[in-house]
Amino acid sequence: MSENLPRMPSGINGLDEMIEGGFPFPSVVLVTGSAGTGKTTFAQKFLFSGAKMDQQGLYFTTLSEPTQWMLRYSTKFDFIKPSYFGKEVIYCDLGSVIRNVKAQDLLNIIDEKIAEIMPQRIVIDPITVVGEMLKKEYRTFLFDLVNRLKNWQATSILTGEVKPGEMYPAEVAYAVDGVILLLMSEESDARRKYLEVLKMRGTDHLTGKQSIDITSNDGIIILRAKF
Amino acid sequence: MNVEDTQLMKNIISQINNFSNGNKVLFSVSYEKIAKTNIILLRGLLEELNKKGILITVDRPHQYMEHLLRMHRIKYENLLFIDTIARFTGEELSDNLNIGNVKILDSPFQIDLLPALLSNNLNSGNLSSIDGKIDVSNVDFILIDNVATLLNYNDPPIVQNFLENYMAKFNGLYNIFISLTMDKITHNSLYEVARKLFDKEIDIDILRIPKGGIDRERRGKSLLSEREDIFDLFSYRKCYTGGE
Repeated sequence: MSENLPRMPSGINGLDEMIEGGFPFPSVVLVTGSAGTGKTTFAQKFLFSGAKMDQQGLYFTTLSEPTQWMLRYSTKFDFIKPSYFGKEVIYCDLGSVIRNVKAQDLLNIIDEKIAEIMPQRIVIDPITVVGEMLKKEYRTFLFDLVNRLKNWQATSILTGEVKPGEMYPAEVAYAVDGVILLLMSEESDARRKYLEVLKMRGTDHLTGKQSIDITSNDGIIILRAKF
Repeated sequence: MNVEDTQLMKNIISQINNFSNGNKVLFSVSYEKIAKTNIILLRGLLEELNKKGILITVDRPHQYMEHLLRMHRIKYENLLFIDTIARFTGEELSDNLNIGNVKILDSPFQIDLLPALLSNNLNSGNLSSIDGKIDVSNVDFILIDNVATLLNYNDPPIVQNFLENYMAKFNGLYNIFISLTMDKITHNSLYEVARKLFDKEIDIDILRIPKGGIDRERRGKSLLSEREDIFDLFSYRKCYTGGE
């Protein structure tokens, strides 16, 4: 038997216990959910918990809003330390570029930035926006992107926006090593949030929906982890 | 490569610049930083010490290391790549297959055959670079990108045997500097085998500059900052980086 895969802690309280100690390193993991389920919070916590361990993080945002606008909200979380910005965590705004380039150019831009920074943790948030821009090229782009990300020495998180009722973006899910669903459901006049590990290659993982909460102190926390 | 990485390279070089051929140095570094450490080490060996060497890639196709070297403007014409993984990866090989300073060999699955294969090829001259710039009978160092990756393809005793044979072959037959980067915590049992085979262990974390050791303004001036023009080609909004 070959040895266990090296693991990279997710930074999400309670998740590592569900996935043998963390995400496989290197690997590419899709974190998907509808609006407000905590995808960006998940990604930020992943990067900033790595920064605490002196691991280099690189965050590609594909949103068309300026990075500082997104950061304005993010900095309300206690775990986001301003001293990490531009150092352990580097932000890279792809929002404007994805409207004007072809798939290969976009791959090259991402590649060049990764080679320059040599991060151990990478986030692309959200990847699904790229699909709307690239259309026919999107599937090939995803395949190439995931292959390249796997070959860099990093664990990468791709976030994927889905419509309410849709589970995950299938075209991304088939290519990645892991899929984590962030879900919201209406129960007794309240909206409750859940996390489910749908797929994690090379990993024995706890299945089923786990209740989560989002707090300003910890970001996403799996509630069973409290007890 | 930023100021801290450059300082780390200098610190590493200060530890090994008195090395003579035949020395063996084991570098201890956390698993996720092995690739970055190898780049820093290669820059020191190739540029600062002006050495010629061999890089055996078992973890990723050599193109990725080549790309990193190119991106960081590290001259690698004195480096011979021996790629054991590319055939399995679906990478385009035609451009680099056995030309220039790249050699493609089979198989991380049969790694126990590699020491003999390498030494036989070295003896027969089959591993010299085609352009003749690298005379492999006269290289100064040899490095494996991430030996622990072999544990994904082979049982631990096979990898341990490989390491012992590899060290015996290159230490006995060729008087060259042998270095290896490993994580002593994640792959402790392999590390324990390796440390018995090496003259010296260097803990990379001890050589790192403590956080805040270099002021942020200086740190932000990456050696690559002048390359940011490539992003401007696409009306690219520059990334948020410290000190700029």
